[in-house]
Amino acid sequence: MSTKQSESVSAESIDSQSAASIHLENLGKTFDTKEGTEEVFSGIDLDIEPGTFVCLLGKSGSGKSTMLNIVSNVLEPTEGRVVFRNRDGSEDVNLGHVFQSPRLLPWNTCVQNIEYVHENNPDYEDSHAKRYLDLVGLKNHYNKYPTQLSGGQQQRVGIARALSIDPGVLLMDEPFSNLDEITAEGLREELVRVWQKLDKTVFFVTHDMTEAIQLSDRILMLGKGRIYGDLENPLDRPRELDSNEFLEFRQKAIRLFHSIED
Amino acid sequence: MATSDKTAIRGIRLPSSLTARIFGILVGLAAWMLLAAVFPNNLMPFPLETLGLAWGLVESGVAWRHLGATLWRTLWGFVGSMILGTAIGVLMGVNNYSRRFFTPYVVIGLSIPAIAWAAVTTLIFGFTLMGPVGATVLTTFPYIAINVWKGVESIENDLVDMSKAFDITRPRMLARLIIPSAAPFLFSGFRFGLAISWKIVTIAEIFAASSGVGYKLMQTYQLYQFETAWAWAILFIIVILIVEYGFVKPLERRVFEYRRDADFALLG
Ligand SMILES: Nc1ncnc2c1ncn2[C@@H]1O[C@H](COP(=O)(O)OP(=O)(O)OP(=O)(O)O)[C@@H](O)[C@H]1O
Ligand SMILES: [Mg+2]
Repeated sequence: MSTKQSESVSAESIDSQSAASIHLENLGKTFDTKEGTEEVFSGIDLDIEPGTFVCLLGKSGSGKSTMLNIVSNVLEPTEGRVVFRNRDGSEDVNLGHVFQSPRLLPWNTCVQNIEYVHENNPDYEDSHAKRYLDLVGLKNHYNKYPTQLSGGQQQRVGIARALSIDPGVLLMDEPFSNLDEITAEGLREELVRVWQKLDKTVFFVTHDMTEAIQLSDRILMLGKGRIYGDLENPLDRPRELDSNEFLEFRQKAIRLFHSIED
Repeated sequence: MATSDKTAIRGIRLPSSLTARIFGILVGLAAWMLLAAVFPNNLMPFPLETLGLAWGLVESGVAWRHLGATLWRTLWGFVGSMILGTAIGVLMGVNNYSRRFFTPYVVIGLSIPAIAWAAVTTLIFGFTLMGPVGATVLTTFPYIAINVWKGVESIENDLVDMSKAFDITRPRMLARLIIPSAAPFLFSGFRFGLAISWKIVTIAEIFAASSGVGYKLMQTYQLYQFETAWAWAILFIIVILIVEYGFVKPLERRVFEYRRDADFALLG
């Protein structure tokens, strides 16, 4: 499956803006609720190198989505700030968003769904959308409506849409968690392949350790309001899920993951 | 599923949708003929006689004048109630203040009979276009407002968030997300509004006009020309069918092309 799709990709025809770095500076978030205030996290300092594939891992309710939403500019932080920086030092960085559900307009085709997010791009042409659909292996589906696609294909359109605005940073919140494992597995391979072709920083939220190890260069663990684990991923790519190195690193990561109590 | 050839209900195999439709029409005609046989001929003529009379009205040109007048009033009544109903429905959908403000008007509006409005608008506007049109707008707009309100409320927050994340401006969100999302509700408001506009215009014409199908129905009735009243009714039904199948259905098909399997396709 993945080899067939690789053939259909014309990544050379895509010129990509280079990846940006992400800097969280003393970041904190507190929610005001009826039961009082709830601090999700505070004082978080983090620098992510351009081009890194980072996975943010944490248990349910640890604040992963909250952090991603702040990085995405959907939520305001209570304290601190997020800065993005291009390799040339400028701070004007495009952000690409992939959500847990595909969030496609049901009355628009794949191409139209991509066109939708190019409001400020006077040079947009449908061939642009098609190049990105090719990139994620949807060559024969340009004019299909979302209901005519499988869940995995819909999520691919979501990824193509995010990549099509040529983001310096790609933000993904558990994008594969609603898919069956086989489909998710295929999409992970695709995502790594695409990421290796285009120079992008990826900030990927998951609660699945295997997924994090398979995808990432660096694993951040969020819990008790802070980043308590920060691991470099030593594994070479492509990664074999049943290799000894993989299993060994996974053991180590899981031990660290469970090192804080609920 | 609208095109499935055989639908089985409790083991009885029903024929395809076309035959079902023809069958339905035949049953109606048979019932008509039965009634025509029972009642005196000048009260209840047979279908063919009625069609003959209707054709006579068309040939003499009388039909065009009165059907035209009714169509014209229906058009304005419908357009007016769509504008008023959509505006109020959108306001009710987007904020709580206007929802609370308009709710009593809509609820009361739903319960006032068309004939009451017709009496009021005739008193105010006399025998002008505004008489029947005003009655139609006032009777119909609450139905449209409710549909539009539901439509605006049904818009998925996830898609709004997605649009914000991609920095989509409000006008584009309106055109590409809000309106298409509310379209099924807008459309059922549209369809319902059109259906009741006809009825209300004809009722209003009974005493607020000196032309139109409603006026002719009343006049022929008062002159004991019941066969002619039937002929007018038939002409009116034919016009409604032409509007429905020539205009509303094709539009519906185009608007909802993306969801061919939608439930209302069953009515196609
Ligand atoms: N809008 C909000 N108002 C109040 N509290 C909130 C809000 N959003 C999130 N929270 C709280 O913040 C905490 C973190 O939530 P968040 O959604 O970020 O967790 P998560 O790590 O993404 O969990 P999951 O894996 O289940 O998605 C939770 O305790 C939640 O109750
Ligand atoms: Mg979450």
